[in-house]
Parts: sequence; C-alpha cells; structure tokens
Amino acid sequence: MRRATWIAALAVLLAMLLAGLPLPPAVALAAPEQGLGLALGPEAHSVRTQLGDGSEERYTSAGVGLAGDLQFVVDDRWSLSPFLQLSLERTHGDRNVVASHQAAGFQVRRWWDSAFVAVHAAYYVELLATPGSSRTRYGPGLGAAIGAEPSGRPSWALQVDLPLLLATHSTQVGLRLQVGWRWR
Amino acid sequence: MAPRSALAVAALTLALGMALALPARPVAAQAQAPAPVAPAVPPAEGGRAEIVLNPERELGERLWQAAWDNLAGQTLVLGAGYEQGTLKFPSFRGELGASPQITDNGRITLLLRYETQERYFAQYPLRFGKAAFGYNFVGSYSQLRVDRQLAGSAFVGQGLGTVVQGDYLVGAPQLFVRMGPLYPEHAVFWKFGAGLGAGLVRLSGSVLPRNGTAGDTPQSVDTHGAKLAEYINVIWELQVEHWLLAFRSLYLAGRAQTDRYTYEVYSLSLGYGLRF
Repeated sequence: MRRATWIAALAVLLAMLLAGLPLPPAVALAAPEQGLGLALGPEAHSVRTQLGDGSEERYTSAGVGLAGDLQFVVDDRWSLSPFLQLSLERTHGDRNVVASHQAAGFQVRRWWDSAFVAVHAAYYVELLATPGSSRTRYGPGLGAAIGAEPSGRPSWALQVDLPLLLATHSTQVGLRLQVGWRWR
Repeated sequence: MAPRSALAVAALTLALGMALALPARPVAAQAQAPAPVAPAVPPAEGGRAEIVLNPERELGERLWQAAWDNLAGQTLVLGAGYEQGTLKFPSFRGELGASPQITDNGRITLLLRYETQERYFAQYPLRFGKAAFGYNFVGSYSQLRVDRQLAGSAFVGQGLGTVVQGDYLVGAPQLFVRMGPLYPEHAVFWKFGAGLGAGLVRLSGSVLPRNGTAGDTPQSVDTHGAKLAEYINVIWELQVEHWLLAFRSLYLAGRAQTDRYTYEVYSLSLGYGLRF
C-alpha cells in the first residue's frame, strides 16, 4: 500500500476520533483502567527501499515483540498512554539478517466499554545486525491500534505502524499483535 | 538531526493528544475562579443555594498533591546508566571524503543531574491526578571516552588505536509534561521533556580521518580547554517515589580546532533524586 494511502487512512481515523463517535444509547460504559501494562506477541514488518542505483531492495521480517505502556485515564471515553516497544525479528527477502524494531511514542485511546481505538505518534528505530556489520535507521512516524482490556482478564491490541522518515526513499509498514496484562 | 526530529514529533504528539483528549478548561484556570467551583444551581425556594462540586476533579488534584508535594523542589539526581555516545565530524581538515565517526560501543556511566523546582503553566485533570505542562532548568555533568571508529557499521565501532576523551557541563531550560500519579496510592509519574541550551565541552585525542581506510594516519582533535557548544536534551522518564528510570537523548554541537563536531548520546539510567 502506498504511503499516501496509509496517511489518508490514519487521517480518517483521526477525524473519527475528533468527531467523538457518539455511543449507541444501549451501550453501557465501563471506564478504562489506569496502570502499567506489559504485552508480548508476534510482530512483522515490510520494508521497501529505493537504492541509489535505481534498484529496489525489499525484505520482510517476523519475530516477537515486547511492549510496555503507562495508561492514564482522562475519563470514561479517553485515555493517554506513553509507550515503549522493541522486537527481535528475522528478515527474509533481499536481506536475511537479525532485525530489531523499537519505538517510543504516545498513544491517545478512545474507549467503548472495554474496547478501544487508538492513534499514536512515535519515534521509530530499525536495527539490522549481522556479525561484524550493522545498520540503524530512525525517524518519526504514526500508527493506529484497536484492542480491548476486559477487567480482570488479559488485554490485547492489534497495531499498525508507519514510520515515515526512516529514509528518504524507504517505505516501511509494521504490524504487531500484543497480548498482555495491565496492573490496575 | 535525530534529537531534533524526536523533539518535533514528540511536541506534535503531545499537542495532538492533549487537544483530543483533555477538557478545554485547565485546572489552574478553574482554581483561580471564585468559589463555588462549578456549577451552582440557582437558589431553591427559600433562597438557599445548592453547590455541586466536581468530585472527580477534586480527587485528581488531591491525589496529585498527596503524591507529588513530598517530591517537589530542587533535585540532585545521582545514579548510573548504560549509554552509547558517538562523536561525529561532518568534515575534517577539508580533506576529501574525511568524515570520521568514533563511538564507545556502549558503556556504563555515572548520572549526575541537577534540576530546579518545576513550574507549571497549564494543568489538566485526569481521573487520578493531573497532566501538567511546565518548565524548569536542568544541568548535568558527564565524561566521555570514545575509542571505536565507525568503519563498516553505523553504530558498532572498531578499535583502530584512536581515542578521544573529555567531559562536558551542560544546562538548559526544559519544557515538559508530567502525568500522574499512575496509581492513587503511589507516587508514580511519567515525564517527557525537552531542553535547548548550551554547555562547556572539553575534548582531546585523535581520530582517523577516513575511519581507517588505507593510508590513514591519526590526526589530533583538541578543543584546547572547555569551549562553548550547543546542547539539546530529550528525556522520557518514569518516576517511582524518589527513583527515576530515564531514557535520554543528548546532542552536543561545537567546534574542535577548525572542525565542527556533534556528540550524540542515547542512554538508559537509573537514579535516585535527592530533594532539597
């Protein structure tokens, strides 16, 4: 998917959040809960880079991601979550190396009962490591997530990340599923 | 450029988050309003006014005060951390292709930081506390020693017999947002801050101009004493009572002899805050 399409999709999601999306009257609100959260789950990335000679480098990566966040409740509908994430992955395609994707960001969540939709901005780092040689790229980006945190049960979230400025001629999309627990 | 990008995205994110999620009227503004807080129901029959307070807002304010007031004040943070610092020269002695970069491959360092008392210019209620935007002044001292030239990697250097060492004393006014407490009964806070200031940097040593390619001979690097440098600081901090877990990005830019350099540090530190 083109980068512009992703940005448009995120903008639409943001507009929906701004509009407040009124709740169906039959839905009873349960407040989001405040506390430290830790989550673990599979993670994958797709990276496409235009090289200097005009050729294109493509690789995908898959592995395990770890995430931690602090959830601050504003009211029954909104919460704010600064977060940190990192992963350990193996790439496939034009590169076959060990990779790690890391992010530090700030997420805004809109709640319906125990389910949420979120948008976030973050600072992303990509690390590709082979014995004796490594490459790191970094830059800001945007993302979105959906998930749920039922009271007294594990939480889950599906998150899409779109690092925007990892490199001038690079497009990267990340997808992660997180299952975890929040200490309330 | 990394710290500047981080600063920009963080500022945008926080502004967006607050605009989206928080009520329009800050707590501070409400605190200055005459009592009753709000809203006051018109006088009932017999002329007796019924006052309805906002219990959630009051609870947030009380929890903040209970958790934070014991920690507020000037702070000296002592601790230790793990960091990677990289000294970069965009160009070197005017030599073609010379842009040496030398790092430490990561090392344990001491943390020594001073902060003035925090002042807040906007505060917004959370269910169990507040989000407070504020400012203070931050100063720190540290030593540097880089001895691994970046030859075939962006961040893992090789020992090629060169080393640059020195120290720096930096200070900056800092803008931040502090949120918390995370739990009603504990002083757990999150803080994100960024500062732009200046520092005194002292460097001396040698580098290979082309990161160790054939024909390189070490050349000296020396600031000839402490020299002024630009300073950018970005922190992401979790505070549990007096203990601080801090992720920090530090950026220094100055001149050593005729060459412009940058020194970039990414660190994770654990410290204890002494309040006075």
